Amino acid sequence: MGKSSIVVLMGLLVVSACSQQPERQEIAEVRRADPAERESMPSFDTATRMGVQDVEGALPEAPPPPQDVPPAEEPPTPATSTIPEMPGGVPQLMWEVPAGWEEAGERPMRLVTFHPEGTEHTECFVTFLVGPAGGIVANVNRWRAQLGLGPLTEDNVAALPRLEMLGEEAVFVNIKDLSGTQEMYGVICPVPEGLLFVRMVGLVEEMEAERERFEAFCRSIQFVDAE
Amino acid sequence: MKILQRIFAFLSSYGLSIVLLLLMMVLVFFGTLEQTRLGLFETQRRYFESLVVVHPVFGWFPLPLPGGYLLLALVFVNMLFGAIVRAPKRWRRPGLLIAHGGVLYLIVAGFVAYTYAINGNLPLYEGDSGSRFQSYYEWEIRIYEMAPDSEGRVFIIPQDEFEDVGDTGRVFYHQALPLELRVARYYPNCRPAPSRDAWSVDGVTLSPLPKDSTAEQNVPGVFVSLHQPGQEAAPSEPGILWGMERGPWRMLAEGREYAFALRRREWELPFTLTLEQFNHETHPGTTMPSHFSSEIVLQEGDAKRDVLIRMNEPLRHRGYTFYQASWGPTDAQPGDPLYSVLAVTRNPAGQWPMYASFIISFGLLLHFGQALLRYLRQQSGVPSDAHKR
Repeated sequence: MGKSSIVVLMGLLVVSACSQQPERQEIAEVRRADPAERESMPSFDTATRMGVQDVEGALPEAPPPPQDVPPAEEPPTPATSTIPEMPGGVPQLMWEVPAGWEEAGERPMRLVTFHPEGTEHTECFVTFLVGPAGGIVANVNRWRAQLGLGPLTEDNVAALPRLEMLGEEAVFVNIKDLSGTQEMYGVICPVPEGLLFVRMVGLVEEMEAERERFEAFCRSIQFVDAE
Repeated sequence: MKILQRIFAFLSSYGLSIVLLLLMMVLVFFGTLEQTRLGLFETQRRYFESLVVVHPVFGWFPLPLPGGYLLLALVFVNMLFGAIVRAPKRWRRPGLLIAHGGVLYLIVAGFVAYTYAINGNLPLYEGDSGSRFQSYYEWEIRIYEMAPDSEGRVFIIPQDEFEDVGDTGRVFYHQALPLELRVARYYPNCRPAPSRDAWSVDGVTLSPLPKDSTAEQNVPGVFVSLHQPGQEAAPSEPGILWGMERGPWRMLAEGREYAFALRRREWELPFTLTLEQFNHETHPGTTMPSHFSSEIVLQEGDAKRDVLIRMNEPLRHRGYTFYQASWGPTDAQPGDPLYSVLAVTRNPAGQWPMYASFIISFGLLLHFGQALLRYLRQQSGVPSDAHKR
């Protein structure tokens, strides 16, 4: 090999090394999508998808009603309910029950349980634990384990979206199990006396329609003293 | 030729065997220690699936060592040349030859498993069916066809095709797609953060995190951009994909909608499993499980059969193995629906270690049996094979 060939080779190497053209690769694997998976895909902007801002702030505004159409009926005023007493001398709580939710009977450990109308397996319930109760990270990971998912790190939990309730930034968790059947919305709100948990568990297809009511319910919770 | 002979003599030598065995001992020792710091998955990758590893002795002194991959390759060559090719072929005493052949087969089984095996899990609620399983730590980019009149396909880019992209990135295309996806700057563990840097999209960027020692806990992210086919230099639509995003990135291309998501790797099964019933028993007076099993219906085409999967009694079917791994929810109340988690493995060499063990056992039994016979003959005054010759 002559010197000129070496120079040409070196030149080619330098040119290829400096090239900013990305490589090209053909996609080789194509599957059939699960129709339910496609239908359950929400459409969010980047910040909302990444959990950097709250969902509600990112949803498009509802279009104004046309002028010539009579105004729609006012939605029924949500019922307000309270619970007689809280453990650990904590002030009483009250909330607005979303339209279509029915209160279920007493269940151990729960302050209250609701069944949304028209659902078979979906329920929302509130629990309260005095003291640190294992902490937020441990509770998030306990919920994830219940749906067969691995634990999150503290950093991952810190990146989860927040929902404002009781004057605090509560951690909002949305988990689906690996089979895509069960879904859970969970909110953990730190209060001075312990942790307040609001959870909604049910089938994926039933949960989607309840999300807005779940978040409204969480926001409506307040201490009776605050009235 | 002399050089070739010297190389052959070196590769087949006992000296090399001893050095390799010593290095393997050192590697296993340091690798075991490192698991406490790096975790099982990362240690396995760095120490036992590599050509070279640099171990920090006392946390600071860099000690280069051959990795497990290189060592086993050398052991294979050393054993092949030394114990099979160069060894005297005494066909009246084939035991050691057979045993060494079994060890070589075992190493080949390890190589095939490393190269081709896939592992994941399939969780099923009672009454649910599943025909795909999910990886514990591998991810994939999915491009969904969202248009109602589309064929409903998902185009898959596996992690190993984009995990090494730098800032320049790599362009992925398919003839059925009216777009090309450029994938750049992959982080194996990261979280989104508000930012206005050059890579940010709509005020959000990905902030890298150190890898977690438990591989399943890492949540990756990657920057992507869309452009028309063959127009990489033209302005493109940037996006971010993250493993825990709340929804996919949905975009229009040529008037048709597509959704892009980073999800755990999934594989289709050529059959369907339905969990008929999950059974579990606990130790008396405790919540600790003593026994749990899954009653499964395996359906392939029109054919159905009942299968019971229990701890240490997996289902093996068409190259897949399903183990009873776990179940939940652990705090389920009586009457709550339960789910069973099956660990799934597809390993073409799944049974090879067992066959290799049989071969090695047979070879050693033959060898020691012949030695025993020779000894007994000597004791009874009958001349041994050697004396006969």
